[in-house]
Formats: sequence, structure tokens, C-alpha cells
Amino acid sequence: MLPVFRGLLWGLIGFAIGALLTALVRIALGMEPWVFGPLFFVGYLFGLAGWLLGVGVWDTWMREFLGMEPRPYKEEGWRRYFGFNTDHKVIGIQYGVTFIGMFLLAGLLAMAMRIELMRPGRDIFDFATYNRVMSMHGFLMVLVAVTAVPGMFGNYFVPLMIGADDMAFPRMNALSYWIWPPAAILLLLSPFFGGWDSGWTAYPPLAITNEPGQMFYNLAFFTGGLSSVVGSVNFLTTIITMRAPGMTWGRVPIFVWSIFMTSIMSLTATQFVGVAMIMTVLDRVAQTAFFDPARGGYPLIYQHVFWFYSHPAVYVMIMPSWGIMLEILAHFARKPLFAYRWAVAGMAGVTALSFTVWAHHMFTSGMPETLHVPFMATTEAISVPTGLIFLAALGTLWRGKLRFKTPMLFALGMLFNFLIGGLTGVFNSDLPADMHLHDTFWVVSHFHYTILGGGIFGLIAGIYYWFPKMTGRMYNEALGRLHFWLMFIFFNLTFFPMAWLGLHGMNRRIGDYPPDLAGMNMFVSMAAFILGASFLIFVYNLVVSWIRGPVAEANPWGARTLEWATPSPPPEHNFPRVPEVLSGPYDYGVPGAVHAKV
Amino acid sequence: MSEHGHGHAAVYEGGYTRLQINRMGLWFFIISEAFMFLALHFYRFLALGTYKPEGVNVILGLFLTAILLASSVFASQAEKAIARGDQKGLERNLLITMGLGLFFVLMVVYEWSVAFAHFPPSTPFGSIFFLTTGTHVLHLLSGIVILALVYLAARRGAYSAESHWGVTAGVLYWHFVDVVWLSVFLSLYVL
Ligand SMILES: [Cu+2]
Repeated sequence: MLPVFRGLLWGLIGFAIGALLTALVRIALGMEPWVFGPLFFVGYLFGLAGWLLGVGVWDTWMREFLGMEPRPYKEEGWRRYFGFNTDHKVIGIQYGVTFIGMFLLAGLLAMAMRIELMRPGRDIFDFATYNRVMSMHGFLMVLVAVTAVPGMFGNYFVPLMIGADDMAFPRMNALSYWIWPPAAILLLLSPFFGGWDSGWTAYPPLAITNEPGQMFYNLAFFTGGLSSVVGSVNFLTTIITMRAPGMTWGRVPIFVWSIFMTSIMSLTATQFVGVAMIMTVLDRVAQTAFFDPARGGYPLIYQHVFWFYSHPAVYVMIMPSWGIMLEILAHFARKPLFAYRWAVAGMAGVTALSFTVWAHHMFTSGMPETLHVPFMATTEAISVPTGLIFLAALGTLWRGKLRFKTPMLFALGMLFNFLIGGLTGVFNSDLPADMHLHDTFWVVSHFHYTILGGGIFGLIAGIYYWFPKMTGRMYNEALGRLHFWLMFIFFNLTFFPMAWLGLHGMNRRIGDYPPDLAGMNMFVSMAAFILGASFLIFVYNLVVSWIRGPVAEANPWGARTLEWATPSPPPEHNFPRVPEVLSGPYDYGVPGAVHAKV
Repeated sequence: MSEHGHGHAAVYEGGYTRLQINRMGLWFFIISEAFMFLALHFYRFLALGTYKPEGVNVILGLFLTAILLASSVFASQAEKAIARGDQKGLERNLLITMGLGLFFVLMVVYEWSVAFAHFPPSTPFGSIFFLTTGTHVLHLLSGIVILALVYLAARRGAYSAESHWGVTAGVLYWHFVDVVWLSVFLSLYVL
């Protein structure tokens, strides 16, 4: 039996046990036993444990603890992707396929929203359904933005780039991926239980009084957080302890640094969102009083706990893409990465400051006014380390021999988009401006410029850049460029006007707007449809090239980092022996420089 | 409990051994878990300041603290025993540690039954009190399960003076759960 089926079976059994136990406890306490909320909550936690045991924890860990021979998952061909495989390259591809699929699904929901918003008034949805679609779109995209790059490229390329044969804890790496399917199942089931209409942020009191579908979101977020924590323990340990000899901290590729800093944030801040989610669920199912004003609770504190995670999380979304962008700029400009140490310092500075800015999401919430100015100041201060990363990018391009292949186009597009995202962000952090901008389409424009225009452009740059390494085949360059130009132009035509719409009073999270904004909304929707259609080219290119693209060489870009010094795709143990690192990875144009002996 | 991987770890920059790598991974995990409790305390102080209702039993809290501190002493005795190859000492000290842990859980359950009358979970202080102590008890129970697995492995003779990562890991986790209790005690009983 494929382990996924055993996992499902054990998960269902776990769910039944958890739900029945809860019912029994409730009977013992003299409460009404058959209530959906508590039974589902406890059932899910038991089901999650059952799923994980069934899918691989039993075979790989528990048997060993109990003194039996562990049974590692060893399958070849397509089957290797459907079990508890500990090869970091298999796990990278599992993450990649899963989250690109999730991205496309969430993109379809965005298309549906733009159909509704083409004209003022009600079209295809009632307004409650619009909010549910918006919530699902937002949350799926947040999961993609947080997870796709570390999951796919972090797992695949961190060990390769530092010259290791795998991650420090291969079994935990598999665990971090296999935690995700229960979260995905929750999100797919949520609409059948009414979905949720409180956006990806799910503020109480709405989030404790709305449909039961809300709980599916809470538990999915909690589950995803678990995976993040497990993954970041692994990344940090791997990067510290498994660098090839000679790979000193000053020679670590910038993408590896970005994953390192990202992992510091995921390791720590994620626990806050986990706690916020559990508190919300308890308010719903156990009548606790954390956030429910009806019982004397404090809804505003939810926002503090939530954003203490979720502001660092936006840097989790962007920082690995900065890493990809800087890698690509150096390799395609054929120049040493400019101000490498300052770029690393910039990433460290952003990481440190990201924990000090959370309440800038709450300027209009009614929190104590003494908090306003300090949070404005820290938020504006974060543009200084961000600026270092920009300067490193610009300095690398300066007088370089630029080669405009698809990955480079996306990296440059990202640089442009993120500049606009950053500049629009300055207004949000500015207290007097934010009083007016809060919850308008200006904000929608701002964060799509940073997260789609920045983070996801970086993801796609990485996909084209590393596609030959991961699949052993070359993508179609002409289609890649076509995809870039369509996506870049229509991304800007979609989201730049949204800033204007916001300034003219269009609110977000409402399926309607004043009639005089109809013309611009029609324009935005048309641009959004072409933006959406550009992904058909992307998917076509990936699928067809993976099946029958021309065979890729080991190093089609002439890049110097270690992942290119081994065949495409790399063999099981990555390198014939542990490479010996002699100098930094970006010494383009330095005569006689060799990064590593493989 | 070692990760096998494909294993030639000691050849890497810095010369980390497999044991050091495992230990570092566990420490990162512990840091992360500490942030879970930090989040609970964050709610407690942001929402309620240092407000404390009638009926918080500091004496009982002190007693609970004493039980856990004692269990930590026995846990480290267990590790010291196997480090000098004393199998019997390892097993005995593990049993005492787990026994004290179970006693602690029973005392907490008793305390809950009393607390329920003073500040039930349907009040804000009760909510954070029951969630924080409940989260801690879950950690403690998982610590007992881990030590039980270590105990079974010890009975099979899986550990020696030279190689006993499983014991080290279980004991380190146990110490963490005890230290976290101190923060819980301070946040809910004392301040
Ligand atoms: Cu923020």
C-alpha cells in the first residue's frame, strides 16, 4: 500500500478516536456530547498524529525507538514522490509541485474576484461569498508565498550550494513536507462547512462567531506553522554544521544566507501565530474568553499576537526571493556580487527589525496612541537595511555584461516591482497617511507589489534558473520570455491602478465600490485576466519541457556556485566526494579564481 | 535517536560530529518551543497586565515547582549514571523522574479542579491560566513518553557510556520543560 493511503487510513482512525474520546469526556462532565466544534478540534489533532504515523513516522522513527528495524521508504520512478522519501531533492520537488498547484488554484480565485469587480454592484457572487472567495485566495497565496521558495529551493539547493550530501536531519525534512497534506485537506473541505469570510488575518470577534469553516482555516494555519518550525530547525542546523571544508561564512552563497535569516524568523515567530490560532479555536469550541468581548475577552490582543508572527512572515515571503534575485544578478551580469557583506548585513538587519514593527498594522485599531510613533519609527527604519540589499543589486548590475535570459528578466522585473512595493509601503507606515490608506485598495496594490511582484517574481525567476538542474531538461527560452513580458506588463497594469483606486476611496474586502470607479475597475479586470492567462504559457512550458525538452548540460548558465558543478539532475549523494571550497562563489572576471574542487 | 543520513558529517567545515549536530538541532527546537510559552506570556501581560484573581494558590505553585526541580535532579543523575556505564542507575533514576512527573500532573489536575471554582476558563484569566498550564502539562506528558521510550531502550541495552544520545536528548528536553515551568510559575502565580 502506498504510504499516503496508509496515512489517510490511520488519520481517519485517529480522527474517530479523538472525536469519540471528546464525546465521552463531555458525557462524563455532563455536557451535550455531539457538538461539532470540540469533536472536530480534538478529532483533527488525533487525526493529524495518525496521518503522520501512517505516512512514515511509524516506519522511520517509532520502529527504531521500539528496537525494531526501521523501514525507510525506497522507491524509484514516480512512486518516490508519494512516500516518506528523505532525499532533499525529492522533497524539493514535492514542495514545488504542491505549491505551484496551490498557487494556480488561488490564482483562479483571484480571477473570479476580478469578474465580480468588473462592474459595481452584485454580479456573480453575493457579497458574503465574495468575502469567502477573497479569504481563500488570500490565505492560499500567503501559504504559497511563505512556503514555496524555502520548501522547493531551500530544500533542493541549500545542501547542494554548501557542498553537503543532504540536510542535517533528512527524516525531519520529509516530516516537514508530509505535515502539509492535512492542512491542504482542511482548506479543501472548508467551503463545505461554510468557508470563512474574515480574510487571511481572521480577526475576532468575527472569527469566533462566523461559520464553522473558520476553524478549518485556524487549524490549517496551525498545521502549516508546525511544518515551518520543523523545516527551520533543519535549515539552521544544516547551514551551520554541513558546509563543505573551506566554505567559511564569508563564502556562503547569498541564497543560503537568505534561507538562514528566513529560518531564524520562522523558527521563533511562528509559535505566536500557532498560539493565536489555538486561542481562537478554543474561544469557539471551549467557550474560553481570550478574544471574545462577550465574555470579557480582548479582541485587540489577537492582532498583537497575530502580527507578531505575520509581520516577520512578510519577510519570510520576500527574503528568500531577494536571495534568488542576487544570485541571478551576479551570475547573469558576470560580476562579483557587489557589497556581499553589506547584503548579508542588510538581511540580518531586516531579520532583527522585523520583530519590532508588528503594530503598524494596527494604527486604526484603537490601540494605545503611545504605540503609534514608536512603531512608525521602527517601520521606517527597516527601509535602511532593505536599502542595502537594493544597493547590492544595483552595484552588481553596474557596468556588468548583462545576459537577458528569462531568469535574469524575472530578477530585474522583481527589482523594479519591489521598488514600487517598497515606496508605496513608506506611505502605509506613515501614521497620518495610513489613517486614510488603511483597508483601501492602496494597501492591496502595495502588498501585491511586494509579494507577487517581489516574492513570486523571485520564485518564478528561480524556477527558470534552476529548472535545468532539477529536471535535467531545458525550458523553452522564447516561451519563457513571452511569459515574462506578458506577466510583467499586465502585473503592473493590474496593480498600479489599484493604488489609484484606493486613493479614490475603494475599500478592500468588499465586493462592491462607488459607481464612478467602474471604468478603472473594468480596466484592472481586463489586465488581470491577461496576467492570469500568462500562466498558461508558464505551465505549458514547464510541463512540455519537463517531458521532452532538450537535455540540459551540467552548467548551462556558466554559473559558479556548487549546484552547477554536479550533473543535471544531481546524483543521489550530490557529489562524488565532499567538495573542497577555495574561494568565494562570485569571483567572475578574477583570473585563476576557482570556487571549489569537486 | 541518531539521524543516519548518508553520514560523513565530521568532514565538514568546523568538524561537527553527529552528536554535536543532533544536539544543535534539539537546541533550536527548544528555542522554538520557548517562543510558544513566550507567546502565552505575551497574551497574559498585554491583555491582563499583572492582574491576579482571588484563589491563585502560590503555596501549591511552590510545591509544584519543588517537585519539578527534584525531578530534574534525578534526570541529570540518570544521564550521569549512563556516562559512567551504570545501567541500573540509569533505569532507576529514569523511573523516579517519570514518577515525579506523573505526580506533578496529578497535582496540576487537582489544582485545576480547585481553580475551576475561582476563575473558570470562561473568564480571561482562567482562559490563559488553563491554556498555559495545559500546554505545559502536554509538554510534560510528552516528556514522560520520551523518557519511557528511553527507559525501554535502556532495558534492551541500547545505551553505553560512550553512546547514549537518546538519554541526553530526553534529559535535555526534560530540563527544558522544568525551566519553562519556572516562567509559568512567575507569570501566573507570583506576578
Ligand atoms: Cu507589517
